Amino acid sequence: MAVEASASSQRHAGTSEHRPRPFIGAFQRTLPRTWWLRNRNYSFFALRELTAIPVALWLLWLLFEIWLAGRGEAAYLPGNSPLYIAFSVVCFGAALLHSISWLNLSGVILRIKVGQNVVAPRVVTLANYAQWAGVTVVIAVLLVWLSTWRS
Amino acid sequence: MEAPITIATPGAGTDRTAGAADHRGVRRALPDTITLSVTRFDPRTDSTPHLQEYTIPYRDDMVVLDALNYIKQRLDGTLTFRWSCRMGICGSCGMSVNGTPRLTCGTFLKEFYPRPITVEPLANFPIVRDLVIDMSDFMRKLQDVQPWIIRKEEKPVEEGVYLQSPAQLDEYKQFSMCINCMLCYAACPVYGQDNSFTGPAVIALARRYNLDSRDEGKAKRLPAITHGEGVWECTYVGECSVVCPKGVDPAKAIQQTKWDTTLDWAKQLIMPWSNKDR
Repeated sequence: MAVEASASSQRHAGTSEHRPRPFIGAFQRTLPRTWWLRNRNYSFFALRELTAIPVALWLLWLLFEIWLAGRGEAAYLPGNSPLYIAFSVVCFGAALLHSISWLNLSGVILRIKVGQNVVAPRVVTLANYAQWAGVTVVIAVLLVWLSTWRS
Repeated sequence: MEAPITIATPGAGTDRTAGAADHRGVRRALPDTITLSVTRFDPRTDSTPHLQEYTIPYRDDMVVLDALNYIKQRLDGTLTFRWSCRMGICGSCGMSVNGTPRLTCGTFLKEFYPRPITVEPLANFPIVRDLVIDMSDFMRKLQDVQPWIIRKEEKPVEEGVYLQSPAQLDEYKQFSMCINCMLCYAACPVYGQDNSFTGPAVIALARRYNLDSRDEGKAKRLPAITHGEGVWECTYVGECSVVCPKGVDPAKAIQQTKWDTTLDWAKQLIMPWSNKDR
């Protein structure tokens, strides 16, 4: 069924008489809700997508804390209970899984040409990891500097 | 689906130790057997598909397509399925084998033996009859991307063929290996949930021609894959690339098209005077 159509079929493309029509009476199927349990790849995909939920919840909590801090020191309630720490650890794991799985795909997605040559996917992936590490260090330094500056 | 109906080859299932001795006096075992559960559906009589079991002699050089042909020739001539080349080129014999989209001409029974094998029509497509799916949706989408070389102006035959360097060939070659077998559609849950999604193979083929140095039809092709149900519907499950029997990576084609079209959009925004055609 490999299709390499000729110039004549190009002229016919899109005309209604040459459009394949659906078969009347065919049995329509629906995708079961448990499709993501069918194999390991599907399950990992579902897990990767679901990691966005704890990350979003953690960020919402952070926004709430910032809002509390804005109301003054008395109202500020920093999250340091064991439950909150456990929640943060889960969120950190989710964020790592999400980030690493996406960065691993970056070499496939980003096709970067330098002159006539395409940069190797491995180099693109490593460059993304380097950027990630760099930004993390900058943010960490900034946070440490801000905490010292305040005190 | 209802409980399977069983049909067995006469003599199949006999104790393998019982058998005739050959000319050297070595007792040869009677053939082993293997059971296939195959989807049956006749739109004239059935409201839903059901599984039917067939027990056939097993040989370790048999593929699933051989088994289906054995059933059709010896046990049940009404079994309907598509096949053609029997060597992984035509892309006709794609079916779901134990839940995974496979070309049945390249799937050996020994991979599963002695466990039974379930053969179903490719997932995510309507069933016309038994193992035959309705592929009209795929064919319409394939037409839409105009999977052939488009030239603004054809050069005269006397000027010869369009030349291409090995590096230019490498740009698109892997996407040109697609045989339109539709296994990637059967593996794609996005297409399974909503078949308005253009789908993996069609986008891979559009990219194959868009990357071809001889082609000038990118501007005509892109609207067919960058609309609301085109590349942006893909959530990168990636199973399309896993099941592809020809090593094509449709997921890569889709993500790269997203990246390229985003860059084109940004370029057009910053430099509206730049050429949009290629």
